[in-house]
Amino acid sequence: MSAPLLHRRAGEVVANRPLGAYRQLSVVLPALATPARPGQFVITPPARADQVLPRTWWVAGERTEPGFGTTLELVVPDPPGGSGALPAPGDELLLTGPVGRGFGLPTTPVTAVVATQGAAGAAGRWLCERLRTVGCAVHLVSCADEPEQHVDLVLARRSADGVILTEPAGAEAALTSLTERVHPSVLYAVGPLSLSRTVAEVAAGTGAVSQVSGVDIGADGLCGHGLCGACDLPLHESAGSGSTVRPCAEGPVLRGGLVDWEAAQ
Amino acid sequence: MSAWLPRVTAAAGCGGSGRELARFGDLAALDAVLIGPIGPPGADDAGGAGRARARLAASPSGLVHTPAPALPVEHVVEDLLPWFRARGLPVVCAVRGGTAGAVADVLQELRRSLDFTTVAAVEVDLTTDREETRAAGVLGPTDRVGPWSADPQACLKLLASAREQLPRDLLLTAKLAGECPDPLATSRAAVGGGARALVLSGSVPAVGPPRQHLVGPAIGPVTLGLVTRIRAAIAAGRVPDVPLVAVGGVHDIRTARQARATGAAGVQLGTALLADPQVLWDVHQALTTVSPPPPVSDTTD
Repeated sequence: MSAPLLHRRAGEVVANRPLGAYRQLSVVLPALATPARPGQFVITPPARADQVLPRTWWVAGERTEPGFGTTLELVVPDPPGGSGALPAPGDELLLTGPVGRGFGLPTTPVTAVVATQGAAGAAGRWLCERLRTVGCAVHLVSCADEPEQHVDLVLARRSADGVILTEPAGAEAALTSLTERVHPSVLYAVGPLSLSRTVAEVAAGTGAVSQVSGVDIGADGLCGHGLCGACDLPLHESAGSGSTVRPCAEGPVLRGGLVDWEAAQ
Repeated sequence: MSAWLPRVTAAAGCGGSGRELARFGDLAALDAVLIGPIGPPGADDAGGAGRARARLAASPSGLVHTPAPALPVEHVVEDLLPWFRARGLPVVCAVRGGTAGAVADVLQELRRSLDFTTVAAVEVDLTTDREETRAAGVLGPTDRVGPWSADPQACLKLLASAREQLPRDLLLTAKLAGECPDPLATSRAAVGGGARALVLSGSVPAVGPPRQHLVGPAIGPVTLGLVTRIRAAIAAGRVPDVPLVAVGGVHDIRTARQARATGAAGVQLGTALLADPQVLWDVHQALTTVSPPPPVSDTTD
């Protein structure tokens, strides 16, 4: 048990501003020992006393300044009934995290495709920026049911070489045509399991590597700590019969090719 | 009875495989780590194909959940028990099965493991559905006939066959829940079969697909009611004197002390861990430092 223990810590919310259909929270924490990575998430206590399950949010950005601390950016859905359930600037916010294994970056500059859906688009945008800094060419596929639910398209256009907007149902067609055009070496997916499955299948079809989120962070019915078992995914038979992976504890980022998506439904 | 009993553990299905908890605190500080539910190889728990994952749905002050997927016993024997034994951590194995034979098979597998010495107690789940072999000539090998706890005689047989598989000095406990129609008879039968402690869960059957249960802070009074009832029956001599463990609705130090004051020797934490696993260590600390529970105003507040 050499890894540092995960503890809930108090952070201070320094900003809570609208970002399209979402709210962007900036939270200042004591400086993190290791920098956060795209694909990590935070766990925060339930909004109301009569709720049992904690809330999980993707980390959409991190900035550590010596002597000041770490500022985490969180892009979260606007809760129904205004932003009352979200903390206001100046409030204290209890957080566990950032937890989880983030997305791995390629060691050589390659072409990458990042697919996101909904509020996870902010984490996807951050991933695009990271990929650009290591020299990759990045194409972003953003899925959303409504046009305004794409996260911050202005910044997305700055952080990716190409941006494709689509509805969730059209994600597969968009990804297939994009991979045929740009021949990516790696595909990333941040978002719900349906998107992860699509990306894993498209990647398998083209022989590319895929890194996908194995759990729908932000969804209901999820503990985020890896204790409840609601996020378990079956692995392919080659990993041993009946093997499962628990994305909240061992992910959330998984190699898309390892998961048996047929059995996961 | 002065049997050793862990004061605080995770409830079956809420602590993952036990190892996930190690990310949040020092397991060696606890009395024991509960792993489970452990099911027979290829256990088919949700009535569907393969291991269905747990589904949780929030409800006011509670949680409606389907049964947690069972850990296959071979995974426990090959992977988990060696891990715990290497660290010197005592383990409570929560075992679940539809037939007495299935439970006995699981216990036999555990018993054969080289790392069985790290197992400090075995908890047999009486809340799960019992399966009965149909009469010859009828298609389909088994039939679900409601929970074990609904049939005291079956519980006695199950515990007796489990007892046979285990060393005499190993603590065997039985877990029954709010769906039990006659907790006194089931408790008596479980103790008669060889259980040396009773785990009393207040989880109650809920709406939706069958085998869904309501848990969480909402069921705290149900748990305390069950503990009070069994404690009264023990005082009246209608149930043999065994220590009780309260599970369900115990979610912080206050409710844990309340459960202790009601007569439970130990508590198990369930949904509280889903919200904040740190509670396990907080409650353990609170229960170990204060040996006589401080005056709790009333169990009904």
